Amino acid sequence: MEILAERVRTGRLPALEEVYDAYGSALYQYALSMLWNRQDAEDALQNVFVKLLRMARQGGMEVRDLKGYLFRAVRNEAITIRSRGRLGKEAERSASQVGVMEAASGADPLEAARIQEVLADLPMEQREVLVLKVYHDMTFAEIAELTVEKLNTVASRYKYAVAKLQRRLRFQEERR
Amino acid sequence: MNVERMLRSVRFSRPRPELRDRVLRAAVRSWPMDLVSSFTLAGLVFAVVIVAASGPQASAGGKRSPQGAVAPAPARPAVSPAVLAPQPVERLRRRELRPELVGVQR
Repeated sequence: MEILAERVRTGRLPALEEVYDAYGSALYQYALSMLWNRQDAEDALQNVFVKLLRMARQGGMEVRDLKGYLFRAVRNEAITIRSRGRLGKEAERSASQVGVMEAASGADPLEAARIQEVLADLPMEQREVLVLKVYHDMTFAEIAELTVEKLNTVASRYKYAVAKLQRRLRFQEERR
Repeated sequence: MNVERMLRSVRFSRPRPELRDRVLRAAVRSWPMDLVSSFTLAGLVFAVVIVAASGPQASAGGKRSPQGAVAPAPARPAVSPAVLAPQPVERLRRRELRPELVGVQR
């Protein structure tokens, strides 16, 4: 991947295609987990690639950790898009029905919808840590670096998120 | 209840296949250096071909003699003194600055 980072520095299109093929899907899913809206996630990803190419061609790119750089860029874009205030809690709830998540193969679709609903209801900071840990296999140290937070803060967010999920899912099970 | 295991029973949707094309197109459109550089390269090649085809007389600025030697280019005509002389406006400005003309006592 260091070779890829070096190739991106040249600012050539094939290198950009390789970056998309290697990270595009994960970056999109990360953006989706923060924005909870497919359109916004697509916009965030597009902006990241536009800026990546521009920076590479202007010669201002010193990327040692390409994956880390891309995740940070997506995060910043997602925060910018959220700050426009278009997406509130209610929007997240209603958007949870429009294909943000899907059941993994062999999983119960109803169960999947239930988990999706609970995830959508988590505060974004907690959901972000949970998603990065569970779906992107990042360590707390990596998440702390990405989110520019202390390690303890990240670990606490994860703990709170898991506790909330357990409570909500147990509550929903009892109601059934 | 293992939350991580439960979470793995769902996953975030993958991007639409068309998104790849859209993202890459947008990136290239925003910085069309590929296009510019190919035009620049084509322009350079064209210029080299034109210079090479016109031979040394074009590049040296002279004329090839029958023996093959390149004669020096004709010298440019000397600049006429009238051109170098101050123009009326300049002369006027100098006149105005002369103390006796603007009433300054020495």
